[in-house]
Amino acid sequence: MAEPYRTQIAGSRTIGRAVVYTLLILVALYYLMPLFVMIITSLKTLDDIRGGNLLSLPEQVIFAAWLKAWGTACTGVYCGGLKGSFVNSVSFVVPAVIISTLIGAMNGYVLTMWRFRGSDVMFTLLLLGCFIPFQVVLLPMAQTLGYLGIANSITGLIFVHVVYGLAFTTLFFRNFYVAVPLELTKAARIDGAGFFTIFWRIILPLSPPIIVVCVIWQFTQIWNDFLFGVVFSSGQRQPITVALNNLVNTTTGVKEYNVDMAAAIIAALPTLFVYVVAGKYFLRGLTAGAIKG
Amino acid sequence: MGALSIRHVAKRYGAVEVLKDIDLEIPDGEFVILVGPSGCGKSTLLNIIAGLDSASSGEIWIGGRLVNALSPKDRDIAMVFQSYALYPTMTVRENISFGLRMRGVPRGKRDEIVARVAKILQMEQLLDRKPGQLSGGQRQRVAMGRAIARDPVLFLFDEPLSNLDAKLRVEMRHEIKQLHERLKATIMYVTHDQIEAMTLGTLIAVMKDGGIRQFGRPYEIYNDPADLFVAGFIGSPSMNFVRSPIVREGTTVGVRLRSLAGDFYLPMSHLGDKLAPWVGSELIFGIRPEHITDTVVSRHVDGVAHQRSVPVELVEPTGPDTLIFMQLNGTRVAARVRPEQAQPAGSTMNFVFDTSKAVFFDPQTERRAA
Repeated sequence: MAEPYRTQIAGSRTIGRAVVYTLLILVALYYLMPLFVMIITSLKTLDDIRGGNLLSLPEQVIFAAWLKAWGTACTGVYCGGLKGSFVNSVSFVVPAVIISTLIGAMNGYVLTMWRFRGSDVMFTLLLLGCFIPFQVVLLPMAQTLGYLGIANSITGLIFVHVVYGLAFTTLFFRNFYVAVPLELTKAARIDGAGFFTIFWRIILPLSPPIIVVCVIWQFTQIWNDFLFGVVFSSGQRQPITVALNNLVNTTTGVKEYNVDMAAAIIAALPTLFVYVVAGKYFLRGLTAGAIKG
Repeated sequence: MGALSIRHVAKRYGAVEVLKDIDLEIPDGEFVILVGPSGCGKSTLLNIIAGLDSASSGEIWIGGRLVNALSPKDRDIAMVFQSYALYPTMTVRENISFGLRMRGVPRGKRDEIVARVAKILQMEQLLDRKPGQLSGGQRQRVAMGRAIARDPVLFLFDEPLSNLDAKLRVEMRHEIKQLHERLKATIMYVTHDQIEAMTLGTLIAVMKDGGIRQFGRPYEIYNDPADLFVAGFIGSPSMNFVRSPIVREGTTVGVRLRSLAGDFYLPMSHLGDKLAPWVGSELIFGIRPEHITDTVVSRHVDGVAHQRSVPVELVEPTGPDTLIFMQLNGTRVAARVRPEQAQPAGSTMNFVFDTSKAVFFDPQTERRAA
């Protein structure tokens, strides 16, 4: 009696698995297709691109387009590729991510562990920041940067992104710390730890999951930002997104698809890298709620 | 100078008064229980003593020092929390020594203290584990270890056993009691569990609605409750409360009780003349279940033991005793009898009412009348 029943279950389970995997593979292929096209196009010669179709593999794999996109591609009269703007991007994205994450962690810590009169109102107001579209703050921000004397500089871009990112980073950390028992802070206070010691020695060591989430989120947002980059920087200080746009949109003579594709991949690589390295912590961090002490 | 002195402490949030004029003097070495239903202000009071919350008025003295203006770390206290509040990323060793480290105790001395504490609590083998790898009882033990390591003037316990299952709770109760006897420390312990209060405390403060209803030795609280609330809160099963007319019969004053089978009179000779002013009015007659027993178990002391037969309404065996419920003056009343003597529901049984510990409350003020 038991035997056929079990095989039946096992059979339907195999079929179910097959369906799930087929679907997953199809979806993955669908999403990977553009990347695939970009990669093979970037490895082709221009003749190869004109001769073959979009999906055909390169006749001969060459990296000339990559080298050109990185070092010598021309945007108008400037022929330095994306190299300079890549460095620009790194130079403001890294500090902006670190600063906004740290301040977000501190905000979250204060809003949960050191509540004060009006802290909930404060948090709600801060949350509203998540819903303000970029475009709305352009003019006031330009003025503010002018007053502060950091307009058109890397420092200015860092400032803009930190301010804009705070709403999100605070939200992340606050929601994470809400699940941390308040008694932890109380115990530490009785043990003789102060505000910063508690943060540094007890709360921050609990936080790697949410730090990863926050860093991935902020890195992606800031690295991929175009609007603030194009508005608040110019010339040699522009971030890579702006440089990529300029590179692709200003062409003299033949349109070099292989260089464009290579440039686009270069611009996307860092975010890809962050996801691959930290991705496995991402979901864990998003779902991590309770901390069992 | 006592270990802890609370002088006229009050706490207000706007118009809401959560603590009203709390006045307690606690001598060295006492195990003081703050007990009361949730929301009575006992945890707020503990937090004020710890310095985690501030009083609206009044003074807190710990070890002879006025500590109102001192931060928690300078009050010479240690606290054990309900959720243990162990630092999750630190090992047991680091958890125990964190407070010492914060106070600048040198490393060698710290190791010495940790070793001593681990020995007292028999957890040497746990020192290098993280709290996540410990069971509930072990975590509780570490939390106590952290408190002991500090060697404070005053220990504060905030419902430390409520997160444990019933069996472990009893074990930890014993450990805490032994610890108190070994360390001779002064402990202030908050709980809502009246059994914990009775078993652990050397002094009990029963709280309700932000005030202390009664403060005294466990037997005083149990035998001589100040008001209806204390009488009903301490003891399980709870004291029986029967609204009864006070009458005079011959030379004695007592209560008239009406069972389903008819009226009877119980004289209250132990109270002397105390009931006399109430003759003709009604009082709440309080008697504990163990003072209504079967005829075999009771001591037949003349004048305070009275045999009466009353119909049995409900029988509840608990194992060691059987609870028998009857109707008196329209109230369900519990009696505690030996299982062999219990009669089935519907029959009539002879009970012995031991009135020597009977108490009376004024139905209006709910204070003790006699």
